[in-house]
Amino acid sequence: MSADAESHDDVAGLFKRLGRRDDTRQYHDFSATPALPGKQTADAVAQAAPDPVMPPPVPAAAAAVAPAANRPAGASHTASAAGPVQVAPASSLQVLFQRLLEAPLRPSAQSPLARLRTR
Amino acid sequence: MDASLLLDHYRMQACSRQWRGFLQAMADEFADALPDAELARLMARMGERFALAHPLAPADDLAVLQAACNGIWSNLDWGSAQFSEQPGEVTIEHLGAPLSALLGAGASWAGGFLEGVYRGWFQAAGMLPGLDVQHLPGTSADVSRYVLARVA
Repeated sequence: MSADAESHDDVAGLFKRLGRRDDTRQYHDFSATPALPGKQTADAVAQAAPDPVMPPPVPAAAAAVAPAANRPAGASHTASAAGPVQVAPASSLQVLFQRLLEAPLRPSAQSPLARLRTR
Repeated sequence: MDASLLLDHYRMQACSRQWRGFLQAMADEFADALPDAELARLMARMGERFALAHPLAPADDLAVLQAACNGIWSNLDWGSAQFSEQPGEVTIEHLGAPLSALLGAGASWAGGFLEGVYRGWFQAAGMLPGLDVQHLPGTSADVSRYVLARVA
């Protein structure tokens, strides 16, 4: 039995695999990950079962422009004739998130829980 | 009758009699086995799992998001939430969560659950990296406070 196979059978091995993840802040649901026989490594697990986290938010402007970028070349003339691409306004929630991100860091931002997460 | 005794009575009604003994025993076992910080982290992960299992309807402003959250809480008899935008942060006050009512303010780690739930819901709503939801320590079993703000 290889070292990797052994590491799948004990708690220390589980934490070893968890520790290899790049971003341990995000929750990882292992229930959908099938048991891996033989010599498959933890890296293979990470590639086979990506985290069920939300994709990074796409700014409204980028989201509005993206369909234009995918438009067939033949359609570009029609688009330009119709005028500039309409950019959807950011929702007030997106504006709020941006405003919070630009605010000064709160003195108590580093709570015990936050410090624990950054270890 | 002492008002605090009356309040304790109503707090106890917030959690089904069927689950009180089980939850109290589980909480005691958790508290014996893990430090508060790790318990809070465990509860937050449970909360994030809850948020994934209870997705909100799309919302494009804070009031709509609050209403969506309260739709979930109302259906589950889990109290209610109020969001309030302040300079540089959004405060979240959750009133009448049965877990807090049952375990009391002493089990501050239990607040990690709602922290995880709100984190998950705000992430789904497009919360930017660098922002996070954090539980604010408090002394009330009836109101749990959280803040959404920049953490990095």
